[in-house]
Amino acid sequence: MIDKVANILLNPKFVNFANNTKYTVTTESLFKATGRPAAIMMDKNVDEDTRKYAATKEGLYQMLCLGIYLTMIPFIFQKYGFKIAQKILKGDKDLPAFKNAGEYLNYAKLAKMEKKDRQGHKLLSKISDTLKADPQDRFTLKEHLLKDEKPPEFPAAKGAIELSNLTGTVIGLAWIASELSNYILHPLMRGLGFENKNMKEKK
Amino acid sequence: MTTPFQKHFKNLCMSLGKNNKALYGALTIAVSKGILRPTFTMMDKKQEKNSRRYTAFREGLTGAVAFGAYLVTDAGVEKLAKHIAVKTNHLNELPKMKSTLSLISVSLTALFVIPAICNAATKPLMNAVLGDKETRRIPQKPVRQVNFNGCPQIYRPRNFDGMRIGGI
Repeated sequence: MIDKVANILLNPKFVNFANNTKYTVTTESLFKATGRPAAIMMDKNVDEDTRKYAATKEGLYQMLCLGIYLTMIPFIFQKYGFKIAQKILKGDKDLPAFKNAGEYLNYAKLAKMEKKDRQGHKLLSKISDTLKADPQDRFTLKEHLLKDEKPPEFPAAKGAIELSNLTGTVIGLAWIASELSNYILHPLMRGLGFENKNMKEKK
Repeated sequence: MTTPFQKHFKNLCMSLGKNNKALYGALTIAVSKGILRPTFTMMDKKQEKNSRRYTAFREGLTGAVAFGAYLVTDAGVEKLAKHIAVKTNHLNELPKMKSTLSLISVSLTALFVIPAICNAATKPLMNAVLGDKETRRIPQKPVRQVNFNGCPQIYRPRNFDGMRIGGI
């Protein structure tokens, strides 16, 4: 039994998923979007209408925040965060001059595959033909992918992306998405019949 | 030449690249929302001062509860991961096991533990810190009124528009 549990916990796909900030934040937000409304609905100290209203609003809020966050991550934080990291560690062989975060992510996917699976893979065309980790290296990174059983994985590059995603969590999820969603939320709640348009004016 | 900043930055990147955990993302959200949301609430001059204080306190408290809950559950998970790794002879893969278990613990903490603690602890804590006067805003049981037919009627307040949601 315990061996089965260990096998599930060490499944390479599960490990990759758990090591990715974007995926873990998404998972956590989805659990919040279900757990919080459920907790609100179970609070019998509050009348049913209020509970329904608060639960719907909480669920919608978490989903909106997540949607805004996921939209912003690849276009802003991952893109610019990776560039800034490359500037800070310019010339460091642990963070080669990939064109962008996308090129590194494609490289990392290939590097994790078995050598035979890499040959002729469509992602190979997305890796630069001339990029080297170190100018003195005899081989390009593409050649390493084709020749080595275990090509270099560049954890600093992965860490730079995770750091960008964490920064995106603070700025994008906790700040911008929280404020933006409050503007979108009220029209949505009105559309669902939970809020009256002129309520504020009447008050 | 490598500056101390570059050295620390590289160490941070290497560490996150090798052993990232769901806990880091969860703690980042708890801290940033626990600080930013009360700050924005207190800056919102459209709301009256007591209402701002109440909402900001509730948001900050939720952040603190979330931060503590994630740390405590993750400490338990670390021990569990070690136990499983020892029993199954996977000690060299302990960091991987910790990261997958960390994701499970963060998800379950967000789903059950934090809402349960917040439901149970928010009101008594707010009473203790802010005083009963300011915590009267927490929704109470529906007020029973008698209608003209002599039947009890439940009055449901519908002034929901000012309610703030979206804690941590």
